[in-house]
Amino acid sequence: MRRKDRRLPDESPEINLVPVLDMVSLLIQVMLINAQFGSFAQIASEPGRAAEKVADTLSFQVEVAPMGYRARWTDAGTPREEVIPCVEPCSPTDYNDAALGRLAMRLKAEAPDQTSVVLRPDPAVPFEVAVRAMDAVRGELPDRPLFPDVVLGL
Amino acid sequence: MRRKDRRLHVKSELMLAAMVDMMVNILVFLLMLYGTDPVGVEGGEDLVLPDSSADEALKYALLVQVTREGVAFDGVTVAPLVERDGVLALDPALLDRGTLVPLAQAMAPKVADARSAATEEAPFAGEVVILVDKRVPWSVVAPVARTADRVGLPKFRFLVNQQAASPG
Repeated sequence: MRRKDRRLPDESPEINLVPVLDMVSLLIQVMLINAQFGSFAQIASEPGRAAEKVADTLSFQVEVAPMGYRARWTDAGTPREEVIPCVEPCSPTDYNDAALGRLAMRLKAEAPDQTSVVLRPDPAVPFEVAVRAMDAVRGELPDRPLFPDVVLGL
Repeated sequence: MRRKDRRLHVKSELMLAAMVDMMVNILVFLLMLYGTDPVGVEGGEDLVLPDSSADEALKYALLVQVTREGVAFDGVTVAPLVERDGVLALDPALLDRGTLVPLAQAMAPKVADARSAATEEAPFAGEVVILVDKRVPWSVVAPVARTADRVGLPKFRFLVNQQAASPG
């Protein structure tokens, strides 16, 4: 009787790619869920020192209050003030950033050498409003900065 | 004579090698995406960054996160936020003359390490990146910034979502 051929088959083994594909696709799904595709930027600022005088002729200050913006500056030694109220209910998008930006542009035209602004947010305003104020006074165009040196009144 | 069997014997298989190649390429892309972010920002419901027209590129620095849950430094929450009359606030017991004590205690050793590691080529910059949820009130942000200043990090870098500037 002929013995059955008990030798192992000599075909070369194939790699089973299905588990590898499964693992890789799971990894991709996890990474896509956690990926941040937005781009980030930073706004530089420094704290104001109480003993330090703002060594500029303009002394541009912006107070971010729950009722709107209050801007103060010095015009030839004379203190000036302008209130830019927000639209009720004064949510972050109700603040008049455009008007603050126009004021900053006007002051920049009068004092082109001045680059610093003191920002004093009210404790009650959300951080988003302070950022909008920073954007307005810094200017949106990188080649035409207004007051890029933001000093925080802490 | 036996005719040759002319029927086609087509053995169809999925080309898994090509699919694995594609998947690995996507995986490498995602790994590189994670690797190029100098600051590990993990978004979520408690951390929604404000939009801004700022375009200054992010630089690596010590990181403080202020979410709606609390203040975290180096990934560890040092001060939880409490809600008072519907407004988020810091626990007054954690404040000492405007300084957030647990944050100062957590930051001081890191600042000391950074100072000792500074060289002439890479001097100590005194910078801190502050991530703040856009809904958090300034009453929480101010003590954090003040604390960073008092431990020797007076250069604040507020992280924002970059938006394209509007023309004109």
